[in-house]
Amino acid sequence: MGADSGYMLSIIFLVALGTFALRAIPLVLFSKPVKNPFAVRLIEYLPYSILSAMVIPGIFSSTGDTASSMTGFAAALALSLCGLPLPAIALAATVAAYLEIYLF
Amino acid sequence: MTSEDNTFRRGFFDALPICFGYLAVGFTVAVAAIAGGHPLWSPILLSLTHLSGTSQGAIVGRVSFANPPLPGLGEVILLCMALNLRYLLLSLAVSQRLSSGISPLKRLLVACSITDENCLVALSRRGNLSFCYMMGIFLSSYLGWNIGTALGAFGANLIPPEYTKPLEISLYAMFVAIIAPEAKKSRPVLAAVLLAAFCNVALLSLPEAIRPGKSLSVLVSGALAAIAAAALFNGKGKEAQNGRG
Repeated sequence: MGADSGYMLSIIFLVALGTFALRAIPLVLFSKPVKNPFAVRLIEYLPYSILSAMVIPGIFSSTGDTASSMTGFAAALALSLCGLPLPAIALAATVAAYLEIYLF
Repeated sequence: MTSEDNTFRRGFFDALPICFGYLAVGFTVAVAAIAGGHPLWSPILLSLTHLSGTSQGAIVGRVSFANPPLPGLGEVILLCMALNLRYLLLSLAVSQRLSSGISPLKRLLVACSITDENCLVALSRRGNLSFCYMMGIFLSSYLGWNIGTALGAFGANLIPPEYTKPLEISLYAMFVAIIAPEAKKSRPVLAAVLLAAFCNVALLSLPEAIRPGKSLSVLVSGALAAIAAAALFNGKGKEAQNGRG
């Protein structure tokens, strides 16, 4: 796993550096507030849209077969719309996927 | 001078709910990492240096040693930077509430504590934020996050490999748990979410010759969808301006 380790270490440190920069720059440089409403909205929506693209269609190949991943996805969607806390949703969806695989 | 209430202890206890929440989320991300074939040290080091659920989740989601090919470094980095752009805004908000006279070095330390949840707690306080208070929040959340990660990493490692594959869904469930409530509350977010999903599927369905890599596709879809939503939903204002990411 030698080459993979180097790869993983690079990712970890480079992203950490970049993330730290994003966090540190405003604190250290006292930059002016971002006034442009479009920019503010864009930055607010960006994480949601990116995460959405990560989920669809990625979730359907996450458990190895479509049926269990659909079950897990349905569970996650239903429970998160009900306002359950995040860890409970992740747990429930995982359990649902396992149940689908081993019971059906 | 800092008020009685602006202490390290106060920060630590104010952030205890975050600490427990992070315990569980760190656990989830670590489990997904192990399920994706990461070595034990990978999620642990990731959490020690990051304290960011979304970008750690994105890394673990994209870098799965069980599903080659691995994405290029640049793609993953770009993806994480886009996901974390909001830290610029959060950090700015905190910066404007910090007590005066805090040295640049201490400000760098405060920078380490900037997460969605930590800023929510900090920014909801009255008055200025002291360095000690921010460090209290930082320690609380950092401990929860990393202890959870370690538990998840070692725990998942105990499961025989042939049973770990379904664990990967926990990561996606986590993303859904982040997206769905917000999409339910906010039309622009719902639009961005649906558009991004559609875009991504469309891009990934292109013929092999012009199909973008997964990370690029995610990034382009996410960016286009967010831009479209921001452009279309202007002057609505209401749900959008909360700084909550």
